[in-house]
Amino acid sequence: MITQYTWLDAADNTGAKQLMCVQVLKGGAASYGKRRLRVGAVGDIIICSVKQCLPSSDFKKGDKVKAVVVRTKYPTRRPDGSYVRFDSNAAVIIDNDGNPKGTRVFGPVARELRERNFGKIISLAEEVW
Amino acid sequence: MNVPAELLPGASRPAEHTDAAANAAELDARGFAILAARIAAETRCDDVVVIDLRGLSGVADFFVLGTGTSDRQMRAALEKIAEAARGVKRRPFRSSSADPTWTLADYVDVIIHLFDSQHRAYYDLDSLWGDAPRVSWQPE
Repeated sequence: MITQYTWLDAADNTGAKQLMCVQVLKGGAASYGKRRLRVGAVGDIIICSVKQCLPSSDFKKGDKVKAVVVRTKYPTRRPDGSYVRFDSNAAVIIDNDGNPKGTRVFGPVARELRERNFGKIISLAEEVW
Repeated sequence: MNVPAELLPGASRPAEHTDAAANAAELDARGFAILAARIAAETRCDDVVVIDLRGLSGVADFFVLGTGTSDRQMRAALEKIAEAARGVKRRPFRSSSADPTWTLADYVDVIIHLFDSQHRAYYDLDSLWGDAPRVSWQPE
């Protein structure tokens, strides 16, 4: 479950290392006390702020980027009743057309991305769960 | 004593049936990948490669990679492949032909990627799956 202020790992080779979600585009909603928070799951597009990056990367701290969530700690339910959850929250930086900015995707990614029309990210991933 | 025909020596067994069914399905995916590669080559896509990912990736069984010359030509190639796919009772699970740099058609066990030359070199899927065997195919 990704919401505002959630920190995520960048799972690609763009040079960004840590991202912080500043806005979830689309996604679902959950109540947090009296507030209604917009929450994202695997396959949702989020706007992030780059928090840590390599000096050689194209980004610098504070840059705003668009990313797609590829792993969540919160379990994702599948139609067969099983759940998949990962050790970390992670996202892949994309451009405005939905193409990944990096050329490689690290770590496992959830199969749900394929249904959300992110076949390009799936094709670059090492492992699909 | 009457012995059922399937238990007689030389009779085909259920295990063999499942093997045969698996082989037929395998041939289908491979055959469709080769068909897509031929159509891509016919529609002037360059450097068309079929990569066998069975046992290496859970994404798909085959990748078909090609380099197109223009957005319109790549879309035409995907449309021709979709037409041929309808002939063999297949339809794309997802397809993204809106992007002129990298168009993709996902036929579940076969994924077709058509790039422009710049993005083919940039994403370099050929070397990402460099250890996967290449399927040899001949243009018609």
